[in-house]
Amino acid sequence: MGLIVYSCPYVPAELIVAYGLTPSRILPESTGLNGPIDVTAGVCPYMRGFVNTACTMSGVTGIILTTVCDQMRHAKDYIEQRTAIPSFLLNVPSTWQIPSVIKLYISELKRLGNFLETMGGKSPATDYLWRVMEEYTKKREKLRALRADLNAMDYSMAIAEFNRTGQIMHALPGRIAEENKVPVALIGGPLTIQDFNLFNLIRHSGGNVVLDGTESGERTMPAPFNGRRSEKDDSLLELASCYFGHIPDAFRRPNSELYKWLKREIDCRGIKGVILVRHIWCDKWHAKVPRLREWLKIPFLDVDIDGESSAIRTAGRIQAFMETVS
Amino acid sequence: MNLAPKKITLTEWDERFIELQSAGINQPKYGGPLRRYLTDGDLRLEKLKFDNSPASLNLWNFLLTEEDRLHASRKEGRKIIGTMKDLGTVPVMAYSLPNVTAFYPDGAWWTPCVMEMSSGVLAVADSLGIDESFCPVRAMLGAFVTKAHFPDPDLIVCSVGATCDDFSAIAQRLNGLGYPILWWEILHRRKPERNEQSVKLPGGFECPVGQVEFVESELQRVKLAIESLAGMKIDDKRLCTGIKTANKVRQYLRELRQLTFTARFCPLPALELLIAEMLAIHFCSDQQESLDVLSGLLEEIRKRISAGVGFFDPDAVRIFWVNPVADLRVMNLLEDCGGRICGTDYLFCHALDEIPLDIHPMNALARMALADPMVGSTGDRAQRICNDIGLFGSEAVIVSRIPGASHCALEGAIIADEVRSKMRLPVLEIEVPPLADSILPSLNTRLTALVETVKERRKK
Repeated sequence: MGLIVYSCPYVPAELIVAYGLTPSRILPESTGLNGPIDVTAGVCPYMRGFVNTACTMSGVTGIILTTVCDQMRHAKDYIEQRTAIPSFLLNVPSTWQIPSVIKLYISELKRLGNFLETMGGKSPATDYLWRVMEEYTKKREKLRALRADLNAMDYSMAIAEFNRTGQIMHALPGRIAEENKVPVALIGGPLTIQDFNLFNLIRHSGGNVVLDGTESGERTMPAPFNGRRSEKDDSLLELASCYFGHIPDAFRRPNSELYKWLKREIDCRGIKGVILVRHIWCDKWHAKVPRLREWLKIPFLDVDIDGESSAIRTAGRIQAFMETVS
Repeated sequence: MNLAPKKITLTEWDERFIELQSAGINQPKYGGPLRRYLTDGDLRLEKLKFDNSPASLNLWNFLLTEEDRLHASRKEGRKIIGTMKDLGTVPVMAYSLPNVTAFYPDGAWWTPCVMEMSSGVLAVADSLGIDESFCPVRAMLGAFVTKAHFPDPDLIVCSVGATCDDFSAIAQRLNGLGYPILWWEILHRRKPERNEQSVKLPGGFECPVGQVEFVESELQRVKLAIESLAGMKIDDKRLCTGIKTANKVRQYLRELRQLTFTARFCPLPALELLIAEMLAIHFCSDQQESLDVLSGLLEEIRKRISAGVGFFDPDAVRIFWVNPVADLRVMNLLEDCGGRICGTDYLFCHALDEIPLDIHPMNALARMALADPMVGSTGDRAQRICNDIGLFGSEAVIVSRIPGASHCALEGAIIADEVRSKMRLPVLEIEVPPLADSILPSLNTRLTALVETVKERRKK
C-alpha cells in the first residue's frame, strides 16, 4: 500500500486508510541536514527535519503538507522543484468561528481524496470510511487509557508510534512511581525524536510531565467520532468536526480555544508549572510566550531548541525551573 | 523654474525649497520644507538623497504628513479603519464610503528606519516579548501601544491564512493586548485541478472559482463590518466608483513604472519610486490627493524623458528588486553602486494590477486579493518576476530579505533558481535590517560586485 507521509495533526489518517493507502504521521529523528531544504538562517529546524526526512526515506508515495505553518506551506515549492515526490498542500483555515471555514476544510478533504486517488488509492464506499473511523476511535480510546499505565515519555512515544503506524505498541514498559515529582505540562510545537529527551531532563530535575501538549502529544488527538446514526450522516463532516473543530493550536485566529483547553487541563490535572518548547524561528509559538507569561497563574518556562546543540543549556534551564516550582 | 534632475541632500533641499518658494511654486496644503520632519525626529532624512523635483517634494511631504491626516480624520469625525496585511484590497472598499479613512498600521515597520530607532517602537515590541527574531513589522505593535504614530482605529481587520507567520503572530499578540480584530481568511492560492472551473486573476495567475467565491464571502464579512461602523451601505454603485478611483491610481503607477524602467536615462530615483508605489495600497490616507501627487510625478518624468534627461549613465545596470527594504537608504546605495531599478516586486504587485470592472465588484476584489503574490506559491511569484524581467529588460535580480520574516528564509532560493534557469540572470540575495549603516560597506561590496558582473556579461 502506498505510503503517505505527513506531519500536521489536521490531516485525518482515517481518510488515507479509507482510500487503501498507508498514513504515516512521522516525527523526524532530528532536524535533518540532508534533503531539499538547505541549512539557511531563518529556516525552522523542525520543518527542515520533516521535509528532508520525508524526501529521503524509502517507499514514500506522497507527502502531505498543510497551511498551518507558513514555512511548511512554502516547503511545497522545494519538494516540487527539487524532488520527484508527489506532494499535496491541504488548506487548513486559520479562522474557525464561522461555518464557511468548516465547509472549506471539508472541501479540502475531498480534494485530498482526489490526490490520494492519483497516488493509487480508491475512493471508499460510504460505509467504509465510517468503519475506519470507528476503528480509530477504539484504538485512540486504548491509547488514551495508556496514560494511566505509562511514564510520561513512554506515553508520548506511544502516541508518536500510533501516529506513525496506526498501531498501539505491544511491548510497553511498566510505570515507574512518580509520587514525589512535580506535575508539569509540556506544551508547544512538534518534537523531533531527539527532543523526547526533554522528558528525561524534566524527570531528572524532579518534574513529571502529566500533560504532553506539544503538537506531537495528546493535545492534537482528534475528538472521538460519533458513530453513524443515520444514512444522512456525513463522514467528512464528522471528520472535520473532530479534527478541525476540536484540536486547539497556536495558529488559530483568534487562538482563544488554546487557552481554554490549557486552563481546563491545568485545573483537572493539578499542574504546577508549564514548559513551552519551541523550535527557533517558530513565530506562532514564540509569540505565545509573552501572552502565556501574562496569563498563567503558575510558573512558566520558555525553552527554544534548534535540534542540534542546546541539550546542556536546556538541561540547566529546566533544572533551575523545577527548583522554582518545587 | 526648471533644473536638471539631480539627487540632493536634505541640506541642499533647504536651499532648493527657498528657490522654489521664490519662484512662486504652488505647494499643497501639506507642503513645506523637508527639514521640519527632521526636527520632529525623522532623523534618517539627513542620510538620504532625494530627487530634486517639486513633484518629488510633494510626494515626500504627502508621505510624511500621513500621521497628521489620520489625526485630522479623527477630529473630523471620520471612521478610521486599521487594515492589516492584505496590502491593497480592503482600503478599496473602505474608501468607497465618504466618511471612512483606512490605513495600514503595518506601515509602522518603516518607523524605526525613518526615526533611526529614536521612536522606541521596537523597544516596546521587545518589552512585549516580540523580539528581533520577528520581522521588523513588529514595530506596529509598539506603534499601537505608544499611540504616538496613529490614532487607535475604530475597527481593525486583518487577513490571515496564507500570510506570513510573523504577521499573524504579531497581530494575535496585539489582539491579546485587548485590541479587537476582525480576522478574515485568505486562502493559499492554488492552480485549478482537473474538472475545476478556473478564473484568471489580475496579474495573470489562475485559481479555482471556488476559491474566489470563498474569499468573496470573507470580504462580505469585512464589508458588513465597515458598513456597520460607517452607518452607511457600500452599495455596488459606490464600490464601482471606489474601484474606478483605485484603478486610476494603479494606472498612474503602471505608467510611472513603465516609463521609469524603460527610459534610456532613468527619470526617477529608486527611493521616490518605492514611495510612489506604496501609495497604491491605501493611498496614504487620502485617495484624491494621492492621485494629484502621482499625476505630478508622471508629468515630471514625462518632461524629463522628452528632454532626454535623467539620472545615471545610460549603462547603469538594470536591476529587478524583490521585497521592500527595511532601510530606505539602501535604495540610494544601489544607485551609488552603479545600478538602477528596472522592475520591482515589493510584496504588493497585485495592488498595481487593474481591478476588473466587468464583473460584480465584490467578486473583483476577491480576485484581486487572491492575486497577491504572497498568498500563492513562491514558484508563481518567481514566474511573475520572470515575466516582468522580460517586459522591463532587467539584467540582474536582487532578493532583499526582511530579517526574521518567515517567508524570506525560503523564497530567495526558489526565486533565484527560477530566475537563473529561465532568464539566465545573476541573482544576489541580501538582508537589510531597519538601520543598515553598520553593514553598508559589505552591502556596497556585494552590490558593486553584482553591477560589475552584469557589465562583464554585456561584453560577451
